[in-house]
Amino acid sequence: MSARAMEPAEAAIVVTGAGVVTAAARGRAAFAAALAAPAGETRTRIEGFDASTLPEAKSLRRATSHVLFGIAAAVEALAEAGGGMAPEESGLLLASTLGAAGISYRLWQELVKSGPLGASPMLFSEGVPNALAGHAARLLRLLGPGHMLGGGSDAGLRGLAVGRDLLECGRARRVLVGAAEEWSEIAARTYPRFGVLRREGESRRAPRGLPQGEGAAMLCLERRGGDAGDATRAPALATLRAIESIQLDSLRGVAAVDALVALFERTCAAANVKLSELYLASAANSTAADRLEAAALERLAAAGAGAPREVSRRVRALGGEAFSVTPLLQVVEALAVVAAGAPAAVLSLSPFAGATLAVLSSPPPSARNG
Amino acid sequence: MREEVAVTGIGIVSALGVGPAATLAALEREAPAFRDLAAFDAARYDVKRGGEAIEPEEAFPGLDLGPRRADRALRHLIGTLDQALGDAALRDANPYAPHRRELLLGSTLVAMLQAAAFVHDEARIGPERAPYRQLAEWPAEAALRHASRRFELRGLSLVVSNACASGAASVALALDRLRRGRADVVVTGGFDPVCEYTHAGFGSLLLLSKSGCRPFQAGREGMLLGEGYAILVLERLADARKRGARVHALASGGAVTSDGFHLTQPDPEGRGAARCIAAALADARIAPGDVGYVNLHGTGTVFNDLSEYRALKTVFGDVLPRIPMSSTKSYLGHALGGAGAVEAVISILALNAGIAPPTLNVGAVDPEMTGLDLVRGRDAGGGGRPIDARAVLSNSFGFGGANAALVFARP
Repeated sequence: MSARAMEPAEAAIVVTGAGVVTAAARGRAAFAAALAAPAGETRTRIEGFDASTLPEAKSLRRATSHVLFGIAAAVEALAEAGGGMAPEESGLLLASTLGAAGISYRLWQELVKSGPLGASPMLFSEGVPNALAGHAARLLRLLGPGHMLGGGSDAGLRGLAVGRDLLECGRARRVLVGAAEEWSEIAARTYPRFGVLRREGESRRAPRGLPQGEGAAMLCLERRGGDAGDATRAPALATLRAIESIQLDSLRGVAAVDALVALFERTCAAANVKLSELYLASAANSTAADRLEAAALERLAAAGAGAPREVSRRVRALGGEAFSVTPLLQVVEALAVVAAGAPAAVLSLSPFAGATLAVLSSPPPSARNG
Repeated sequence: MREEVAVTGIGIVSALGVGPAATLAALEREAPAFRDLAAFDAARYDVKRGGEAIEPEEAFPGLDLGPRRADRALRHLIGTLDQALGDAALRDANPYAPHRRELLLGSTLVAMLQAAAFVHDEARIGPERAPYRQLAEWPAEAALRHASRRFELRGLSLVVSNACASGAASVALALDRLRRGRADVVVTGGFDPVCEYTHAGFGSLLLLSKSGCRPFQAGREGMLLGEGYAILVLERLADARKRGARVHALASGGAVTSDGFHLTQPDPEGRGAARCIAAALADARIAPGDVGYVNLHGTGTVFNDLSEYRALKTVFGDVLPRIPMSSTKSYLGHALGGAGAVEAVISILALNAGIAPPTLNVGAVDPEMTGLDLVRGRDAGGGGRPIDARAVLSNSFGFGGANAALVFARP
């Protein structure tokens, strides 16, 4: 059975707000400026984060760091997108690869040590996988469809695909798509053994992995133009032209290259852009991902598709590997490119061989507003 | 015109048995499936019972259940996926392009059993010698990759972790993927194993019952936990018919909302749940009076049941007393992230069998919940109720104020 052609959507899915919390910069503009600055030291850990300005900050006193980062980034994204949205029409799709792994690990240790006496209602409550979504829905009055997505380090980026569906199916008029991660001691012990992270204190020239980062990135998506009506009057920052995710067997081998080439071809066709027009925010998070991405781009060039006009590795160079957050920081990077009038793509290749490619461009006049 | 979505394959494993036929037979027997838990040292806990399924190798004899290091949950998941895809006649030959086959699964624990094994080993042999390979498989994506590879599901894959609404929420997302033409087949559902972590956690919140699960009964004390794995294979109805697939039911509506009330307590008025149920009915384009059976979330906790009742009253109003409803958690416990999918399957079985399974272990319904037609079992002088339903509703609610509701209809 052949692939079904997408219905031509008159309305566009646009980004109307973005929020960023990283060690290097807080806020979309500051983050873009940090990316544009000459490469310096990688900054991974957020020091002295002030949660006292968050809404109902007292109610977050037991919340984990990734929840605090996520709420802060969401506040910024929603402020940029503007008010006037009914809570019931506002959805959220949030992701976290590690989530509250730190407190889950602690609770497990207590159970192993002390049995039932080690069970802590506080740790258990804040350790539920959708704690971030639950807190965000309550504090930010996002009462429409709410989901916490897992599935690895591109789950946040994949949230854009699902958010587009929610908007196009009329389930929400605005969707907050985002991700948040906190630095995890257990991840720092585990992942360097598999080349996913660099061991703490290892030199920058170490051959495998990146230092572990943390933070949050949040985006507001709305449907604009056509029959969509205007959810808000906030200016659209970019249009989500196309996004597709696939699952590979691994990041190695000819089959992986074939699949990634096909992903580029389908996504560029759906976005109606040429590869050579694109600024590509690169996946580039491991030796295997680097090689796969390079092989796919070489193959596309050899087939006459050209090469992206620029391939950027700035996000991870700036903040290390913050799992589900990093691909969304790449989207924020792409927003700056789009603001300058050029289309941009974001590629994510996760350690477990998920691949996602998104293409963004300037919003059409009918969808701009503002 | 909106495309209808068909359920063409079902797989299910729980304490009630393996497969839809065994599950239906167990419901008809009205035999609760609780036993002393063997998955961990439950003797240390006040509540020692739960709804534990048989071992994966017993459930799926002879089937390759994945990598040697895979935990019990993943092995059961692989078996259940195999069952569902076999039922849909998509296991051995799949006509859809690999990148148009998607996998959306709900789970709260995913590979938590591997983390448990690691922590026990670490405590025994120390952090230097601990088997970190077990933790490397902790992220949800590890489970997705195993399942995607095994069944050649190469499109979008995600785990939805909306607490106890995860399984139903993943089905609701799958509906949108198919309606928007993003995928040709979505393999969806939910799973969670019995696990000491959740047993201890819910116990610490005083939500487990020593006297058994008695949803909607006056004086109910709480829930019992169980495990469940349920998979639904969804396709557009036109595509399913084109390839001659058997259609179990239409997945005609779904919705997800957030309470925005509290991390671990439901909105006492059930406002978020009411919005969710109403949205699911609207999505299915049916009126409340068209619903012929409701599979309740019905955990048996004081606040959850009351909140659900108030939500139902808000949505169904005067027709509430005319609609048979039951909580099948009274048979197999609360399967957490798997519950919404398990109960979606049970709802489809009820729709097709024309029988509303009763709630077990309930004598008198809580007097505050007047007007609720809770189907009760033979143990209370009742029994499975014949229904002639055009559509059935399945509710799921969870921590974080997560709500999900699904509607299934006859094709």
